[in-house]
Amino acid sequence: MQGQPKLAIAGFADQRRLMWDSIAHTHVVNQIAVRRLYNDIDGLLAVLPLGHPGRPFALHEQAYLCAYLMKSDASLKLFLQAETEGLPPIAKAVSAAHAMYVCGEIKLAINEIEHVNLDKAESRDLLAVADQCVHLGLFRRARDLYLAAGSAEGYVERIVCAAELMDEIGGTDREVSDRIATAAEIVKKMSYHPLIGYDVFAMRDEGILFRFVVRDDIERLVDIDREIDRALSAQFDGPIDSLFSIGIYPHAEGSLKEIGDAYNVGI
Amino acid sequence: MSVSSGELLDLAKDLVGGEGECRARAAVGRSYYALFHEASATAELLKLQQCPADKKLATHERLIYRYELSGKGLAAIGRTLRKQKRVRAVADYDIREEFRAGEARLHIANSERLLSDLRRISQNEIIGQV
Repeated sequence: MQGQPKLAIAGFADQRRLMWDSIAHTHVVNQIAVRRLYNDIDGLLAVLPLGHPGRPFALHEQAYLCAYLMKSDASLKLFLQAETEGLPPIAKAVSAAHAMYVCGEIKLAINEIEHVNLDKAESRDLLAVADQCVHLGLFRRARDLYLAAGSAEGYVERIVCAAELMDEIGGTDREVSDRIATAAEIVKKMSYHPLIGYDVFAMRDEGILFRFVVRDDIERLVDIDREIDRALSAQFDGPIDSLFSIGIYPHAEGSLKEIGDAYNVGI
Repeated sequence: MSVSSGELLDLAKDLVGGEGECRARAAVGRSYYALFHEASATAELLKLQQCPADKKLATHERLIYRYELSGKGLAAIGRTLRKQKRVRAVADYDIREEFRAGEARLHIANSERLLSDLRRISQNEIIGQV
């Protein structure tokens, strides 16, 4: 009886993940396709009774689709409903944090990730939370979680370096994330797509550079880059500003670390 | 000066117009130094406050610091200068990761815009002195 809806939800989840892959690759959102998939899932939810084990996962997929349309309020409501109907709290927190980043809502994203209970978390949970911390500027927390999960190679080395540089001047995650939030507002306002890819560079004697990937013509990218500097200079002036810069990375298909699916929920 | 910042920027454009990642990386170096020299000249012309001697900073950071000490408008220029310096560090030191020509083009476009701002500021200062 429950087999068919289960298959349908798995199919929708696959479609949504493929959609994200395409968005991440191109930095273009096909809004019609997103809405169509949302409505298809709505059709399924209309016939699934409350208490059906597939409902939280269907709601999770819809929440993500809202984020691709940058509808943060609707997305958060759906994540909350998914959790109420049985989505595991860590999955909800990690996915909602990712979705809020996609919407450019850095403070809402941090709010999700700050309150997640990791007391009984497995390694993969720690890594999922750490990944979400990075693009929110919570480098010290990300470093601690990566190391607790036994991961310290490749890209993680940069995060460890960034956190160590912050330690040396007493810089806090909050100081970095406040600056990322200010810059994200500008990127959201001046670009034509959600927040998707990013890059972090960190090196002793050179500092930390965080870059948002944006798809636009070069002159517009310069406008955004300069506007970020103007806004940061108007709002902030602390020791962390000598250590930490925020800029733009020009989109190129197939380039860069995009924020992957935060948490692969499955039925 | 036997070489101008404009000539350095022209060389950066020539380099990024060629094939290959090495050229893109080298272009960013020339683009940054075009900016550094223009910013140094402007700081002197404007007589921006010197970085305190007890601050243990390298030459480039001392220049950025002069802009940061001089009000929010010039502080934003200092901030862009520092960001351009960091992208140059990516180009020169982070050779394990691919460096794309687009990054170099954006760096050059940023330098060009800032060079133009610095020249306008210098011009206004010269007119004010006359």
